[in-house]
Amino acid sequence: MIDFLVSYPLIGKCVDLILFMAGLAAVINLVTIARGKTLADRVIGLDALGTQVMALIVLYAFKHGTDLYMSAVLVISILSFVALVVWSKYIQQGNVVYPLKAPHKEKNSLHIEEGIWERTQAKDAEEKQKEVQKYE
Amino acid sequence: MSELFHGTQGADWMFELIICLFLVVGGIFCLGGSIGLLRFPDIYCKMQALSKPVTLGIFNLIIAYILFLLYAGIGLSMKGLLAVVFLLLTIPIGSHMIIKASYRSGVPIWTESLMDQLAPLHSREKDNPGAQIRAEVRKAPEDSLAQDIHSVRVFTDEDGQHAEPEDKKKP
Repeated sequence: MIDFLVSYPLIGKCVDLILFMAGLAAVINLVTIARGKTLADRVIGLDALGTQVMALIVLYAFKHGTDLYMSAVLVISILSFVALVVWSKYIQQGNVVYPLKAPHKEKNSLHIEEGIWERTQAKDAEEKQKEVQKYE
Repeated sequence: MSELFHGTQGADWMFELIICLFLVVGGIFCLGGSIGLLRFPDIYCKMQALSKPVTLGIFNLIIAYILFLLYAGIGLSMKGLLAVVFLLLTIPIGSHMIIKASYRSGVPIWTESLMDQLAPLHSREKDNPGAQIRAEVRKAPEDSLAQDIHSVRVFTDEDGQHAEPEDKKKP
């Protein structure tokens, strides 16, 4: 077992304590995932579990004394974020890419009027004709 | 003192103490955020209790890691800085998306909560199943303060003018 912190006694003791705390937090997240009543409960618990695992990896990297393990931290964070985005889509619609339920339309949201492109084109054409007629 | 600290120069013991402080604070935040999941009554409260402290906790842990690698002479870890930036950006956004989705699907709010500022904007939509579900499920006890506040709601018509509030109760 590589222990880079043998020569740093105080930091070594702190890291051992924090390993215990982060592990306990991961177990508590598991309890929440098992006990959760709604779907969002469990999804948030999974994301937090991934974050606690990231904390454990960082503390493990303390002991080895290298920078190599942050790649795993980055990968886990990216995957958990993408999973949260996909879960949010799944909770609202039945599916992720195309909606199985009807999409809800907001009443006072920004909307584009029909025919506005043709009207602006016609206005520009009129103004251009007026300018041309001046020089004729 | 020489047994606990590795540094022999003047202020190296202070640097080690700072690293230990960052570590301990990060650990406390991670643990406290997870305990909040068990104690809070509602999914919306649980998100508050979880996303903020856990993000800050892991932020502190990675800062301690970067400082330790600087102190031990290994070098500045760029991957650590990248991880910190990415975590600070993505965890709050992801949790907010989950909560918005669960609100639209009709997850009920805790009955003792006083304010629902998103309800008047949400209930105007006809295709929204969450508003109908929430209107049925939400029932506050008669003695609580919540009933008086929630019975007064301001709706705006399509023209943007204020309509009269419904069910205005006077004490």
